Amino acid sequence: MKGDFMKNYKILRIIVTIFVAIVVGLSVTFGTVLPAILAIVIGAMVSYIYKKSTDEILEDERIARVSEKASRIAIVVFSISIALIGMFLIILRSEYSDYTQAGFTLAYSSVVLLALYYIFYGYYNKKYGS
Amino acid sequence: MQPSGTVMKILAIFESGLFIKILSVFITSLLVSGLILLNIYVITLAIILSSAFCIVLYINRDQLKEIFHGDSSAIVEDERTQLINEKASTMTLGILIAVMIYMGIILVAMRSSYPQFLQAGYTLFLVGLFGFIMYFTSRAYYSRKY
Repeated sequence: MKGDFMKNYKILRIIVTIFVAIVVGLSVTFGTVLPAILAIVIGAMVSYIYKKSTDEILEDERIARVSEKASRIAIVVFSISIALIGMFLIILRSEYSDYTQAGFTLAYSSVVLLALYYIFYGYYNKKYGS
Repeated sequence: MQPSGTVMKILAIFESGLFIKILSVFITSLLVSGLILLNIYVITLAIILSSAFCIVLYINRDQLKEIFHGDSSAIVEDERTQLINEKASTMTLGILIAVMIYMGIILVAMRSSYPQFLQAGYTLFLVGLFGFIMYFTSRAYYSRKY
């Protein structure tokens, strides 16, 4: 029974992803933003409603543990990579002026990443008793 | 006269492997920066520093394993901190990747109205995908491990 729910949820997620990807792809091609936003919101809502309507556990503990460990490694590599690439693109702005905007985007993204991380760190630190 | 707590902490950093690790990261960054900038002075400085670094490592060759692997018996991070770090990473990565991809899509879709942000849009989109790939690669690794 639990396997069925997990299987159904997986199928639903694939269908929602395909639907969102098609609509977003088309709206990007035609240069209109509204259908893309609507598709993303509808996709998120369908997924959320299905998750809430079932009482079954859709993710076992092992998957959650693996996901948390993977996130930690990914965030370390990801933050260092974007900060370094951003820094080099900003430093090299005289030679490669075309990529300066990309450099600033990456640098700001790494700042947002750090800010978000410390907000969540503070939240979980409080939640699990500091 | 007894040295203060801060001075003792600084001295402890120099005595531990942490200083050598920081120095090795600094020299590597200096070398990479020099190569990218094609600046011979930066490259020369990096080579001189790395030569000095190699000499220090050669003198301490017997303690290399302890320096770089650390003392396995020492507890670096307790389980609670590890749990908090992992949970915070999951939330941060999920939100950041989603926001990056959505922002990228919006900026690229609005290229006719705001063409000056097109590069930022493509960058956000590509970086979001890069984060996604990083996450799934590490997830595949940990799925196999556990």
